[in-house]
Amino acid sequence: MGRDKSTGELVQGTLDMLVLKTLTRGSQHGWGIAQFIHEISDDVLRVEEGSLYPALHRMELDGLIASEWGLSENNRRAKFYKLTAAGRKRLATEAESWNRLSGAIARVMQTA
Amino acid sequence: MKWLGKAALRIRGLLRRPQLDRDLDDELRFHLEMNAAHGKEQKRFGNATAIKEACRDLWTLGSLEVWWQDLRYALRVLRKNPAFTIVAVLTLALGIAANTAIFSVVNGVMLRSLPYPEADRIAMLWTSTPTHGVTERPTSIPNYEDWQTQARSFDELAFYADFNHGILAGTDVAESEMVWYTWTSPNFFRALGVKPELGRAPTDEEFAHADRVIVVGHALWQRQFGGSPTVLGRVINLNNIDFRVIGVMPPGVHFPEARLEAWAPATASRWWSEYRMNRGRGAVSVFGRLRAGVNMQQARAEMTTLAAALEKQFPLANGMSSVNLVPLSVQVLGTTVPFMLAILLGAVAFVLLIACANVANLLLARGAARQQELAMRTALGASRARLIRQMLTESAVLALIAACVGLPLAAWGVDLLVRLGPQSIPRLNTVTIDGRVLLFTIGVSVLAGFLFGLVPALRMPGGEWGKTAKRTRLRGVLVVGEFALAMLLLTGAGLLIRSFLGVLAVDPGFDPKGVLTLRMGFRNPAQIREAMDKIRALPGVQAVGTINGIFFEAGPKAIGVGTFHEVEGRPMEPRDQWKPLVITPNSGEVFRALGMRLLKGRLPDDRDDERSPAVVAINETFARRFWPGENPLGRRFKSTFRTGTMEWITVVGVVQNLRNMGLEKEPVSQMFPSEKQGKPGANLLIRTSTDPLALIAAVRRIVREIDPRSVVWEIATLEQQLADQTAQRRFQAWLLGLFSAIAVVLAGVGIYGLLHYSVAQRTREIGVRMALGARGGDVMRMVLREGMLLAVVGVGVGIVAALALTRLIASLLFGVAPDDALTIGVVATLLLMVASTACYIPARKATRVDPMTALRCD
Repeated sequence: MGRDKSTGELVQGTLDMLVLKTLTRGSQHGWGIAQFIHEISDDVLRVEEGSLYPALHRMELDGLIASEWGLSENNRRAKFYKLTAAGRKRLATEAESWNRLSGAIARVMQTA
Repeated sequence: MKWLGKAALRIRGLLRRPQLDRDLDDELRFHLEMNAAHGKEQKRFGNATAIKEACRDLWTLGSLEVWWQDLRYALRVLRKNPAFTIVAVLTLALGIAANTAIFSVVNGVMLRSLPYPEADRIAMLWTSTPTHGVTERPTSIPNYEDWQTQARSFDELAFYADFNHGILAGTDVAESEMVWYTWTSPNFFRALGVKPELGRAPTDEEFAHADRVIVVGHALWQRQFGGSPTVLGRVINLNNIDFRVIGVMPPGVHFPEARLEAWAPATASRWWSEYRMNRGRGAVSVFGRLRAGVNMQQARAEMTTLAAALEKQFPLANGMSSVNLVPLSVQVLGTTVPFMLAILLGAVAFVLLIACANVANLLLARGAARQQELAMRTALGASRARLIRQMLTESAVLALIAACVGLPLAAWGVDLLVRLGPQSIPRLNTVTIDGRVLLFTIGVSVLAGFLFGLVPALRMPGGEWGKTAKRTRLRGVLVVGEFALAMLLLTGAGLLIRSFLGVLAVDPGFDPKGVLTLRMGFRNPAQIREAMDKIRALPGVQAVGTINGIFFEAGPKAIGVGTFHEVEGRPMEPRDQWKPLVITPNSGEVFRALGMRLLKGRLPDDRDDERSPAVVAINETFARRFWPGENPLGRRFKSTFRTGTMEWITVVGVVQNLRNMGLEKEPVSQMFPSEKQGKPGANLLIRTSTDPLALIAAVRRIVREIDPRSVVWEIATLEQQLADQTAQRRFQAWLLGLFSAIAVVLAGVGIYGLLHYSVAQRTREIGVRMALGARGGDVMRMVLREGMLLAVVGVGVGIVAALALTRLIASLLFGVAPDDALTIGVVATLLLMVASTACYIPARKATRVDPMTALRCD
């Protein structure tokens, strides 16, 4: 599998969740998704293309997102991804378990 | 069904690959352009090809494609080495076929449930006398009725009386025949959970009124009534009783015995009113369906308590009696059959293990030859994991081909097993290769494939285990293992074969040669005498007589000098000292027909009839028990067997013991009254100086002339009957013998293959030795030593394992100890002889190495 383990890379499940969350704002192409996550996270989260595109294709195969070709803001042909109903459902469950997890970690960090 | 959609997407991806590739390119190029437009560094993008590769794999069955490549490659490799492939496939096919065949039997006989709904909730309830080791006795009707009213653990408690047979006749019956039937409680079919396919079961009212109604089996209905629905309401005559047919059971319902074909309410029987009053008379076999939420343990506990209360209440009739609950499946199967099947299953597993070791060995040998190829592929970038996977694919393909070859072989084996298997294996005739067996075969093959494929795969170049020396050592270990397993199997088979021969050598106490046995049914039993006289007059016939059975499997009545029996001049014996006694009324010249010797006195005959004093001949065991060292002639004891009331019986003769409990058990006490002073004898024995089977036609003619409605059945020679006694042993010994023979051959092939390869590899070394003056004999000794060392170590390990494991089959042995030195010695010698033969061929080849050629070949 030979995954690059550099810092700042997102755990796979987390990346899926962030992508799904990003797509709740409307359909977006791959670059846009990466850019959005990067900016909103104040440059903390960096989405590697090597992870992003396989993840997008996998989620598409799983039916969590759908794709169609369209024109980008600079009038280039680009592949746009949008959320499906299944994706929305998955996001809800993932977000919930994330919140539970991060809350738990936060509580432990505060007290211990 | 999600995976189905995914699979469809992937197949589409595979078909539209160029389009997909273009799209991927476009998508990534767009990303790069956007990066450029926003001034991002290009090098951060990483390996575009790798990304594309990763995405494409997702779409196009990536892994499946590789797998397909592996598969094609494996097939090509196997095709290129036909000799290797054939040997490996045949070896494995043999192992797989043996496993499949035996598993089919296990599946059909043990795993498939009985053809009754929730059959696992049905249990037999026997009366038992634990102190005498009697575990399954019939129950008296008063006791059954008390159980039924008091027991809470069962939805239904039903019974059948000991099954019976009688002549089926009647104006509507196609042809008179002997039919097995039983008397039942009204809830018999309810408890069993079966419904008639036509008509109905008897009602409680019919039972209460003792109505003569009957339910018949499917096969009987087809045979005698052509399957016509008008059978309902017709009258048939069974054992001289007219019954009205009220129902037909569907096929497969034969409870409680395979040959049973008719069921009538017990109240319609001749004995009902008498037995119903007699708490001491075991009359019926009880079975019940557990109430929901109650398990066997709870039911057993309740019944034990209940029986203890009944024993206390009726100490005379129920003394020392308890209840023994046996799940129906266990009852049907018995205890010996599962054990025997487990042993056979173990044996075939060993055979398969040896086959696997052999193939692993072949693969290792070939692995050495393939080292160059593998090294090349490694150099070209194939990862170790990839190569292991490739080799495992090869093994799996090999195993599955072997399964395909093995299945027809197994089907043939199953056919043979079903035809040759002993009657004592229940439901053997229903054994087939079904889905579960197929699944088992595939599972076993794949498992075998991994087993023999994994070891060589891990021994590939690149790994630290890839060294030639280690590989050779591993091959040696495999051969040692093969010989150890073969030794173990052969010892087990040897012990069972010796037991079988031991049983064959037992003197049954009679001379079985030239004797025809059969049973005759006349509606007027007196006509049997007429038939016997006419048969006696046939040419070649030397003696004709009847006896009430020869072998008694079920424990006969225990008697002693106690409440029921009393020997003149001896004190009463407590019940726990009672011993079983067989009573066999007989008539005619049965002792001459059996070839039994009279030791003292005379035999009772027709002159000892209803009016004369009761006399019997007794066997040696009987004489030794009560009159050891004395003359038993003229001594008396009390019994009720003649009239049902206690009277004095005089001993007038002593006869040689006959193995009345079967060949493997010591004979028990037996007495032989004349038929006129006991029940009429049931088995007709005809001793002839000619071929007994040639008499059958004449006997049938005589019987039919006397009464066209009479029947003759259970025709066999006494030799056949004797052979039936040993059928299970013969089956067991043959099968284990066969499996161990396969094991020995495979082990021989294994050691041969190892040495053959070793000699081929050492051609140069041998050439040098010979050039330096070694003689053919030296070379031969060297090769033989290499092989025989492995064989000897293997046999040694096998002996140790055999000493530890043969104790498990001690209960199957007869007249031989599980650590019998002779058997182990003979078997070890045999195995070493096979090994030396197998070693001799390559050793011989080594001596033919021409030093010049060997040294020249580079």
